[in-house]
Amino acid sequence: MLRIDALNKSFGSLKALDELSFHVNPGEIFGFVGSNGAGKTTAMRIMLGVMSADSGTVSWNGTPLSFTTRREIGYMPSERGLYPRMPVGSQLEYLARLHGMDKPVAHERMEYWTDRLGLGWRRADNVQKLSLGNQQRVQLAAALVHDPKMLVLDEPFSGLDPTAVEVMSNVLREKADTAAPVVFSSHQLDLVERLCDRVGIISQGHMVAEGTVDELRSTERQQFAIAISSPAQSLRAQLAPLGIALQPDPLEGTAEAPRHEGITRMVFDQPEGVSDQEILRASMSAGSVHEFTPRRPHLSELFNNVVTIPHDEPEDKPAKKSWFSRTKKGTK
Amino acid sequence: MLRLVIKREFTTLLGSKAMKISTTVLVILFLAAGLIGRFLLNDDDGEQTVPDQLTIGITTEAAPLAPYLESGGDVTVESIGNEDPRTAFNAEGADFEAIVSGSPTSPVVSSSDSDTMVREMTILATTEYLVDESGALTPQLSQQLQAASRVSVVDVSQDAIANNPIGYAVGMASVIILMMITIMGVSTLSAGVVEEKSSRVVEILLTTVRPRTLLLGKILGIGSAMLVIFLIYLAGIFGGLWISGLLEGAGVVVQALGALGVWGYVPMVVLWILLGYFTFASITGGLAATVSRQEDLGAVQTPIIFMQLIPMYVAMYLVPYLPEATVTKVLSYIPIFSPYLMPMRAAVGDVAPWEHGLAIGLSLVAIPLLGILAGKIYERSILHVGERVKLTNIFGKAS
Repeated sequence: MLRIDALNKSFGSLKALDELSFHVNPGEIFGFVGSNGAGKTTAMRIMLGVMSADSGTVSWNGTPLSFTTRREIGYMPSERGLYPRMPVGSQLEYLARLHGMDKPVAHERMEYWTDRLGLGWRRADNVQKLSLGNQQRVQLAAALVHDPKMLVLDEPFSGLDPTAVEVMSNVLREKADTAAPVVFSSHQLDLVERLCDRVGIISQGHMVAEGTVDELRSTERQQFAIAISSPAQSLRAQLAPLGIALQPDPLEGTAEAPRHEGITRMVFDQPEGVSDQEILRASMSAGSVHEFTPRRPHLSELFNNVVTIPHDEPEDKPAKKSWFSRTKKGTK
Repeated sequence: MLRLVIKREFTTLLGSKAMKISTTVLVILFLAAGLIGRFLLNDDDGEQTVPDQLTIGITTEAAPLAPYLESGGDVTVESIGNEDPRTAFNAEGADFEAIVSGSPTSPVVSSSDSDTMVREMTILATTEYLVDESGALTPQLSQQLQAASRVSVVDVSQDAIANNPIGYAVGMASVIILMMITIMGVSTLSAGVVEEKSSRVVEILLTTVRPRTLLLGKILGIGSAMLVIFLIYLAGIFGGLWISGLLEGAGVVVQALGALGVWGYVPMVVLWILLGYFTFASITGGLAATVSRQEDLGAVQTPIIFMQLIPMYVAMYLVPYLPEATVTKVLSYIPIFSPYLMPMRAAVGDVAPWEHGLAIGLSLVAIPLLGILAGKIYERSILHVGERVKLTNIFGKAS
């Protein structure tokens, strides 16, 4: 198990990580979400040892990650980087060999991953000749080529076309199926929801929510959405005796709840001690019911609820004085 | 792992198209220069086959001096009658070293070369003529007079350029070679460090390679590639010299190097090239990591190049004139100066073995210290993107 425990990191007066803790189980895909500047990249860099934490530990199966164990991690940094003037094939082989692979094995793994990611025909081309999307694929190949026992990927899906997203998703799942923990950060919440076993939401360097997608989406009271061919007032009149307060559907007009002429869309929380069947029956007496579904909040709604976006406060650091401003002051 | 980094740097540099083209072009230029030289030198040969015999023209008035002029040997005296010396000297087909006119007791020498040896020959001839007129000239006296005219001047100045011109030339060559290799190596190294940083590949590399290993690998890989490129240049230069036929005269240089102890001098220069490269490369590696973009590189490259120009000028202008001065000796032990000063000192004068030992020892102590310092700077700034990292920030607080 990969365990991140009470990480702290400051850059000057900015606290990038504040007691950040979470864990990733073997064979699990962990989605790491948070707004820009929340501390995802910093946390990943510390996990990989390219940056040092002020305090806190990163451990793997109970022992702190050492230089040797870190070499078994496949890493995709947020700022993509490869040697621009080095061919794809030899570059991947070089990276594999830096991770300790023998030449023939490194060559074989390079061929496997370039073929798998649809780059087989571009092996001899310099990286800078490739399109951005293809460079992204090479970057993924670079993270996978040394058969890592763990994957840490910073925004692996950004800039990928749908086919590549599909390939990438399959690769991540496959990797997790070999009992490797997989951590990735992303802003594509629908993708995180679909792909991840567990999700952590980070805000201002602190983990504000962590759990399986189901756990996170479950609410205290079940919410229902209803679509009915009658005015809102008649439905309200029917449901009021059951103690139900109706709200207009916030998703009306989206693909999930399309708007139709003569159809009223409402949402409500199920009151305690009232069964869904009772509610359905009461609703049907108001008009014909077209939809009656339990509604769970999407990750994006949760995200918006838990994540506080820091205001751009002016820094209290005085502006740097130039030589001229100093002399000006002196002459005053 | 270090081996892999070295190998990559080495093969990338030597395999790059730009490097292949520039090396090929340079070698072709060297060979072409040799070829042109051969034709030019062959043209000269026709004129140079003139015998060593000097021809002196003499007017009728000065004719009594002719036998005395000829007695010195290797001289032919031709009478020009009463012709004007200027006209006779410049006449078509004339090949006079000088024309002697005027009276035998007060002759005038006309020549295109104001420093001509005919002047001394004429003074001697006039002296012999005057002594003979008084009836006192004996063959023995004539010989003594001739011997007296060959007074030589012994140079007692400390100026090594005059004392040991070939040593000076060899020293200059060593200093220039050293400068070429270090400047080429140091520029390639800094460009490489910044390329890794600006392309952000360094972040992946650092997950598996320690920063110091990466920097050391770059320094060693680029250094060895530079050495290979330099040997190719050298082969081109010698090829050109051989084609031009100038190598036949190389015996003189080898002889001069023999005096310095050729088998001691060449390895010493090679050692100083290595020490010099490592000294400057360590400084560069660290400083280059503080910038993020190639366009900011000039700010760190300029001081490093100046850091080399100062010892180079000291080696070129101070050492040859004051090879034994205390300032020269002391400067030549200081690590940044020693790579340039020591080869020059050894070429133009004597350097005691303990001095070599001291200078090499100090450099060997300085390089790891500079390496640690550079490694620290490198480690702390290689992942920092944006503005150039200030050195005070690097040492002020851990990043």
